[in-house]
Amino acid sequence: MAEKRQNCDEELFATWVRAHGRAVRGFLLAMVRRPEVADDLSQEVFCRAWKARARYREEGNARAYLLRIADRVACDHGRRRRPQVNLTDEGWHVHEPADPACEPTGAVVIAEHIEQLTAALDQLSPAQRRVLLLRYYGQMSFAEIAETIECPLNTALSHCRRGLEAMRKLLLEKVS
Amino acid sequence: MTNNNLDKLQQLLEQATAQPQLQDGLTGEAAKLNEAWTAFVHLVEAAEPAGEPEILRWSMPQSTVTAASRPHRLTLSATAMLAASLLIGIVVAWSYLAGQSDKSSQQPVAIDRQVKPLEKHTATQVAKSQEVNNPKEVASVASRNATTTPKWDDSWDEQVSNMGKDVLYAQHELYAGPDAAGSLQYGIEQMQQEMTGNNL
Repeated sequence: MAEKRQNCDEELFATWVRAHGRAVRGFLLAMVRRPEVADDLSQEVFCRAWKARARYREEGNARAYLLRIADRVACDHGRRRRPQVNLTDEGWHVHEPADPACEPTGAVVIAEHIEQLTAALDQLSPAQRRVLLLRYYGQMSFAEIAETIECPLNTALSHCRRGLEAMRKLLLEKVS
Repeated sequence: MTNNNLDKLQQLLEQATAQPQLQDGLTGEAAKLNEAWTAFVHLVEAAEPAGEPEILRWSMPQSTVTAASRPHRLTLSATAMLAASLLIGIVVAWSYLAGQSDKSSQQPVAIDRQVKPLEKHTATQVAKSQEVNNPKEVASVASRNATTTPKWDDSWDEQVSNMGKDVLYAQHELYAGPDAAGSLQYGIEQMQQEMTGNNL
């Protein structure tokens, strides 16, 4: 009986990882801006979800549930973050040797896109950023977003509107 | 913000940020906000690596208790309980025996303290000297002396001597016939028969 339940839990969890792993990681990457930190925090999100699986009730939106955990994890990370020292290129290659299968040009292109996203997100306030990212990655309704970031619905809507206006302004600047 | 305005704003934002296939015929502010939303989505999608992200290779935590490890844990706990109960038994037995030996070693000391006021007389001498004057006290001292003085445990000797007696009785019964007086009489009769038969 217990073994059967364990197997069911593992199957459900594997489904979650396959279906929502990319969204969770993308949300965290947009929040923390560092791929290696986003990877670590993604692991933490799924670990927390696994530990809390007994409390989870299937209500239709597992992605929203995971994104709520991810939002909490990102906020915790922001609170406990200490000044970090970046490694030099030489030191970095000692700790993280280059993957021979990885194309260098592809990595450079992605790094450029991350920079652009980072620059765009920097135009937003933290609350606007959370609302837009939860809307995109979590596909949540605005009521769910308001509940997740613990604010009234009209505040969540205002954050979204102002965030989009800031993005439009940035877009216009880029075009001009 | 009134409820009417709130509903309008919510509807506007839901249209602007809806999935691409659900966006049709957006005009005015909704279209402007949708442009911004689309630009944001493109930025986010471009920043994501094309390959399989690390998260898809996630595995279950190793510390999770599985059904297979349960019998092993039960065996370990049973062994630990058995060892603990044995240890407790040994300690209890040891303390009990130590208490017994302490009692037997402390008794002569107590007697010496009781005997001290009698000054240079052993309990037996006191009993003998005061036997006539105070028979009750003498009896009590004598009984204390009898109970407290260490005695040689001769139960083993008694058992050996009793066994020897039993062997002798058995020999006697063996050699004695139903109408004979004993082994001595049997020997005398043998001698008489030899003498009368001129066997000598």
